Amino acid sequence: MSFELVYTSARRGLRPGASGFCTVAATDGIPRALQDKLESLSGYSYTESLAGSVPPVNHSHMTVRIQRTVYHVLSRIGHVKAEHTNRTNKIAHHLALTSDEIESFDDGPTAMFTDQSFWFSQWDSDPQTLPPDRLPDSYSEPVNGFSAWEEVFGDAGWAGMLGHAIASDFRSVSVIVPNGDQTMALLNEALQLVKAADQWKVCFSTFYTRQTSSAHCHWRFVMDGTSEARHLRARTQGILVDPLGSKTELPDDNPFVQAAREGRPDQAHAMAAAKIRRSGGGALSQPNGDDDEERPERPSVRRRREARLQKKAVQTRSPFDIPEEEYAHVTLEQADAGGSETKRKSSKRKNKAGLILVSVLLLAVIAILVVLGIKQLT
Amino acid sequence: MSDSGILAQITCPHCWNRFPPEETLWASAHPRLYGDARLGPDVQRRFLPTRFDAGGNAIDSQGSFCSEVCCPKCHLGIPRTMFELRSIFYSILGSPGSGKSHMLATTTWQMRQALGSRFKLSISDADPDSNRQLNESEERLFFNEHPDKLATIPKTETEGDLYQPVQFGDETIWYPRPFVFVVQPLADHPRIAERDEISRAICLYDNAGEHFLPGGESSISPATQHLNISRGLLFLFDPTQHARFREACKANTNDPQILGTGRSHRQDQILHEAANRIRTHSGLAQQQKYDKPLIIVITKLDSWGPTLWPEWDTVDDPIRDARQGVAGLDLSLIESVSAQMRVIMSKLAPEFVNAAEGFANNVTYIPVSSLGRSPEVDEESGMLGIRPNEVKPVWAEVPLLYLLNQTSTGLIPAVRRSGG
Repeated sequence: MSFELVYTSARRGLRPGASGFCTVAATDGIPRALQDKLESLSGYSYTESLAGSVPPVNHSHMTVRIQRTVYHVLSRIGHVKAEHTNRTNKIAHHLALTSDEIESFDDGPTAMFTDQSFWFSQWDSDPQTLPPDRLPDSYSEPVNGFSAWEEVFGDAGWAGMLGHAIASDFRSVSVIVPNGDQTMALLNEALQLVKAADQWKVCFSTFYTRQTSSAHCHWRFVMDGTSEARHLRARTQGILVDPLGSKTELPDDNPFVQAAREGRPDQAHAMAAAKIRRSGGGALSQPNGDDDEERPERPSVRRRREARLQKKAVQTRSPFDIPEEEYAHVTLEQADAGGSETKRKSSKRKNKAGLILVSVLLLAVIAILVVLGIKQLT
Repeated sequence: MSDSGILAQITCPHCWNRFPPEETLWASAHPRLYGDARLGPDVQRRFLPTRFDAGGNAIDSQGSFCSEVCCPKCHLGIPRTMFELRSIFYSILGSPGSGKSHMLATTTWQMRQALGSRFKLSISDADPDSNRQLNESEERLFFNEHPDKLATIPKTETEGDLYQPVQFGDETIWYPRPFVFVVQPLADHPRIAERDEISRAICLYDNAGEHFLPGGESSISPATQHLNISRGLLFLFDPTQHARFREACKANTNDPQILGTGRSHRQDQILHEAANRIRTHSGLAQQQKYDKPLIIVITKLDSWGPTLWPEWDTVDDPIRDARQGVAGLDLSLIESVSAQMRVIMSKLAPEFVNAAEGFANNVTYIPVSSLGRSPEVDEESGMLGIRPNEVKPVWAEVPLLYLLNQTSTGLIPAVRRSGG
């Protein structure tokens, strides 16, 4: 069952006695833990938003785990007119879907934002309980190659870095954009480079700040002129796409970059697989400035990387990815959890053997002591 | 304090955990060591060091020298000064819209002006990055590039920039971001020899008013738990949110906060809520009174002063230059003004006076105008703003100076007028 929550500053909230920043609408029966989590995802950096001519809207997709359920949270958070105390205000509208529910939305997470009539951009009503299973119409916006990337950055190849990041074990990538005008278009175009089966695994935010997000985010669109952009330029973990502000150059031999430049997103993965085969399992090239490229690779690191590139059952790569297969509504027999399950059993067996050995040794020592004691007495 | 100059116990300003210095974690510095279990994949990993350089800085597993120290519980960075100077925590609380953010910005700004020249004390940001939000507010009001245009301080959010997420297993706890200042004597201070004894790290928090409403605190947002360790409370009472005050003043003001549609909050209930939280978390019995100073800051003096206290704009400066070369606070003046304020409050908001004096032993009423004049409504945005070139705070720094005088020996002396 899906759940919605609307959070803004109002005279009265849904909870009796609440006012100011509070929940003004929510689906009937929303779990308390989920409500608290969605409220905590409602941050919007007003001062950072002033870096642009128009305060940007943050469209985001995050995955959160509440007890044993994984929710895909789609959020629209934006600036609204002054609230009842004549001060700044925002509105955050969240839609939480379970892993089962997203299967009926084949067009991916960005398609959920096209139905403007569903998403609240302001709130002038009394607090209310929303009916269950209220969902937006989902349809993909028509995408024309990578024209938005070409227009904003002068080179469509930059879109390839986002596809490359996802193909490289869902690494995070930050994109510094000049303003918030075309971020949805950039996002839609970049998603062409992600396999359809993986699109719901991509977490993104079109107006990202570290302070306002507590969930892991793969694609982060950061506005130029913000403190977040300055922080990224000083030091960034993961990939940074910043053609306007830094001297980063695109790796021309990266298959995703080539596919984006040629407008052939469907060829991206085939080209990437071919390159890996040709190079004997080597890594895809990354933009200049990555520390790894400047140092000779240690054998242990190369072995680990090669092992990672081999096809495996879906596993958690990073401690911060949510292992959906453990917590989704599927049984263990259906999920391909063979690899991890076998490893857990084998380590349990080793622990057991060790325990037995120690017990035997202890018994032997006790037996020797008893014999010596008896001899002493006799 | 040990011979090394490091305190025996340190209090984390984020999660208020107390720990000995040997449990301090350090933030690694090498680019390969990213990802922390508490703070997520985008920060340097925290670790308990075993190697140090000659300067006492930790060395991480990749051989880089580290400098940032962190709390062992929440892993958030702690300014080094909090390991060397005694900390004082003060809480600022009040209903939404009572003027906490404005008062914090004007108080710190006024203190930066007054402390150096008059008290011979230096005040500096212990962590400029952590104080960034407050510094931006100060810039909006006092360093604005367009001083004749309306400036606004955004409404404080209940999540976002002023809070930091920390992961504990499956749960994310949002801790409020502290503003930490270091106050210490300058070279020409008469007590410079006792610098180590009288210097302090002062921690303030700017909570959203919603956190103080009943039900406004949750287990994942313990935003107001600093109330329990604070050495004093500054409660901002907003007369423009009280019906009787508005009624008494509306004939004699053009302040939109009084003349507007009116937004009322039961501020006595907010004080009761704060009192309950303090009693619950600190184990104070119901019949016991709070024994630390409770300062009731009556804000927006410019809007109600002309009607209820006509001498508001000619009141004396309570900071007096003493013969010894260091200024002091005129406690007689402050206590006299407090008595006058109590009379006004007892007449118009007796339920609040009852709540305050029923909770605390030591209650002082101090009127403040953070801006010096009423805000204006921006016709385009509908938001309240003030022109920076018209900002003239009245007594904005007095509540905090008074608290320092009452709770910290040696920093802010008191003066008595000579000749009666």
